Amino acid sequence: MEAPQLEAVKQQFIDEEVIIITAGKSWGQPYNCEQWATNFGLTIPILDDEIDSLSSIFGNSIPHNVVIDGNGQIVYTSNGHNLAGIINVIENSLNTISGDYDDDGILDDVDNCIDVNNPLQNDNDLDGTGDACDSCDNLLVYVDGNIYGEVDYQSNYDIDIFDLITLMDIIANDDTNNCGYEIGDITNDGNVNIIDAIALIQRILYPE
Amino acid sequence: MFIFKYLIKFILFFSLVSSQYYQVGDQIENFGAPICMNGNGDDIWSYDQHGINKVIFLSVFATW
Repeated sequence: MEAPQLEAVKQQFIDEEVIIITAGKSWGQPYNCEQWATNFGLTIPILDDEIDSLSSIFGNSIPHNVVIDGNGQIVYTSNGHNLAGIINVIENSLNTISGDYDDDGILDDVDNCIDVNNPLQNDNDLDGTGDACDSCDNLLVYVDGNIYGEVDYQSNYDIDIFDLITLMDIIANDDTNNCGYEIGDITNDGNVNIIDAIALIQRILYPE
Repeated sequence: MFIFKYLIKFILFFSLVSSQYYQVGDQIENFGAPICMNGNGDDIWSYDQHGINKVIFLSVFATW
């Protein structure tokens, strides 16, 4: 698909739950990824398929176009530039988007576990992620600076050098998926950064 | 018989080669790739993270 056509498709479905992405390979002949976006005015995400992670599962012909409906089913996969056919398939797929992916009666916009059926929406640690899909226990384990997450059988914990090392690791790698990240904001300023590490050092040295 | 044997081999080979790609009607599993431009802060695009319950249009190209 030509770059201007992709942008046109994006504009056509900009108000719908449609994601347009493109993936490039053989960079440097002559454009690299950034040049490709700049020269052709692409604003959609451009993926790097240099190692064929996508071509190897969808098809090696170039260009290759794939449409996946709201149920995760392939509804179009073909090479070439059949823009009209692709738009038609996308339009027909819009009715597969339910707004309630896990069928638990809670719309995705407010569902605390979008892909796990949890109609009761229990969230014991009140971190906004439902218990059904929350791997971080912010009620007993990841609390009050216990970033390393070590507790004994009675749920007692110490704040020590291991928590500091873990926090430094989280900051250095911007590891937002780490359970310790959720309680890493020691200073409660909305950011997890070196200031929090300094605050944690003070807590370790001068426990209340 | 000679031609028949090679025909069977060709069909088997073609089936193996072509069956690795998703076909219309297949249910996809998670897939993804690094984002090199327009990622809005994300480094990786993955279906499970960005694509669930949405219609996805993916176009794969080469720069040549």
